[in-house]
Amino acid sequence: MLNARLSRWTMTYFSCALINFILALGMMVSGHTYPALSFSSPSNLIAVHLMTIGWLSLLMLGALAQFVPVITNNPLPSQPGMLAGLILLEAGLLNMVMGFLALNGSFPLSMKILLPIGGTLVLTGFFLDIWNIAVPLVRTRPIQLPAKMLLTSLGFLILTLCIGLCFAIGFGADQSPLELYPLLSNGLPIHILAGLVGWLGFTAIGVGYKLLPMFMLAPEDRGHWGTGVWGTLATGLTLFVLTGLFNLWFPNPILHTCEKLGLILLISGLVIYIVDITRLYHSRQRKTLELNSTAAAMALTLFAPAILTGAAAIFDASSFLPATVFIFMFGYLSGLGLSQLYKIVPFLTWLDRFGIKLGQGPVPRVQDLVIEARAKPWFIIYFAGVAINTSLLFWKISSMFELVAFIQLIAVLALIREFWHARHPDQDLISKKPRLSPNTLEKISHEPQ
Amino acid sequence: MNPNEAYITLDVREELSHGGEPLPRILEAISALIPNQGLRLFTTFEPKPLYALLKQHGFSHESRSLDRGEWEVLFTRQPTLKTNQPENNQKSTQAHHVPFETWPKPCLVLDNRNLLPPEPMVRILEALPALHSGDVLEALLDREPVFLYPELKTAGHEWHTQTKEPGATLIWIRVG
Repeated sequence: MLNARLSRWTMTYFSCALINFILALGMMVSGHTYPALSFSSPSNLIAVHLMTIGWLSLLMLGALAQFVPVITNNPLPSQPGMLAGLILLEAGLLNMVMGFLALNGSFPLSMKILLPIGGTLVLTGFFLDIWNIAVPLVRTRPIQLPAKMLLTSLGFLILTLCIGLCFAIGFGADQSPLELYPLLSNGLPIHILAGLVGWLGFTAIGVGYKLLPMFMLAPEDRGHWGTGVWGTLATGLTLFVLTGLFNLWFPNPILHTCEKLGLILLISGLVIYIVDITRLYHSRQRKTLELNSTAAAMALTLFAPAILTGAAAIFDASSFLPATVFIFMFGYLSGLGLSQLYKIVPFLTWLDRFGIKLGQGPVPRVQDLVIEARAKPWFIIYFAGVAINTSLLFWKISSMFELVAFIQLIAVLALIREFWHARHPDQDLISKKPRLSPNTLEKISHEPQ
Repeated sequence: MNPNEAYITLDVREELSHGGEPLPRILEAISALIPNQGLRLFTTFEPKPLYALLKQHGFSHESRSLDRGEWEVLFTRQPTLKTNQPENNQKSTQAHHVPFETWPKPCLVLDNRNLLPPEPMVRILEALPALHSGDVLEALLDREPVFLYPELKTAGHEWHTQTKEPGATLIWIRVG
């Protein structure tokens, strides 16, 4: 069963993702993007898609390409397919950004045709990766909780892509099809929730349910709590998205009530998740946490206020939605992503460089590839920046936003430097002494057969 | 014939009549069998060479002559050590040529639970060079060591893994 090999393109996905993250942060620092303004302003749309497609989706896809074969014990059908997916996604994103710039007036308006072209490329790239990742998931029996979550997230990704392509056609065409008007006017919350919570949130929760117990020595089987998280979230979000879409074209008070009910279920599912993840941290056997788990706890701590503002946004979207989207995207999703990169990058580097040398000579430990004391302040600064900027967005104080975003950018650059160091270990690490001691051999028996 | 044994049927008569070579299909079917499963094979001749080959994989045979010179052969897994036999609800993966049932008792047992990845596989790979060819190492793990398998294959070792329940996986490694 030699299915668990290192994914060929995961590190390339991570590198591209981090570059897009820096570009999105750069737009906030330079004042081109301010999340409290309308989400549908072209400059905000550029930053949002750099974040959602360029950073978070590439990060998730890169991680899934590595970990789906591990959790399913089935290989991806095509490694070259993952590279083709990445190229299509990046090319599509570039076209979309240029299309948004055309809407903005920075490029000739005729170039807005690049929006549907870019959207189609992105769609193709995503479908290629979805196929690659879904095949091992559906081949595995029984389908365990993380796999169920990932399959659900891929379903919501397809839904998000279809809605997104309709938006691209609507904005990119000289004359938008009349049939799309209801979606273009009122469908944005559905697109945002399906993408942010359905695709990115479900993936983060599913991957987290595998990685966090593994690196904290906590029980992986989440029992009824895990099933409750999955069931409530999936039901709530499906109800919201489907009834919301129907309600756009066929307005009906019953559909509107179902939409609200879906949101309430969604919020309930997120609360159950927070309770279960707190249980997971409390039940861990490893009392001293490594930085990746501590930083993940910081991200999860920011998740709680995101749920509160999200619940408030059901009743007053204009006041609470920008802060909710910001804290969910930068605090929970990006924070969890950065914290897991801090473990995944040295772990994969160690497997790649040193796994084969075990038993043949001295090798460093995985933790030798990182310097936690140097990285920890940057995680704290990043999360503090997210918390401050969320507050600024909530109180609509725009004066300090760019400065705090700049501090966030510096923190992310410093963390990228840490990832780089982990990926390129010093030569003196390789000359470490062997560290296996006789007491690691629990019991030795040389009895004759 | 063991009454508790379920048999998967493989009919290669048509393939043989067209001059085909069914051995890969037979071996594939054998490797896909779960514990307590056997293989019922229909052929156009008595497959005597196959008896010896599958005996090495731990299978006994019972053959029966049919009409027109055709044969039905039941391949049944030979009884194994009870401690090493997976139950129906257990998951088992393996990569070995010498039947697992004939492996010697482990000369080294490691309890690698409650260790942070990749420490469980580190301890195994660091312990293996001290063993001799043919020696068996047994290790108890929290989860299936999927990153270990490529390293074992590269080093020429054989292994047999059993997941008894979530959080308890046993691996036996026979040094190559």
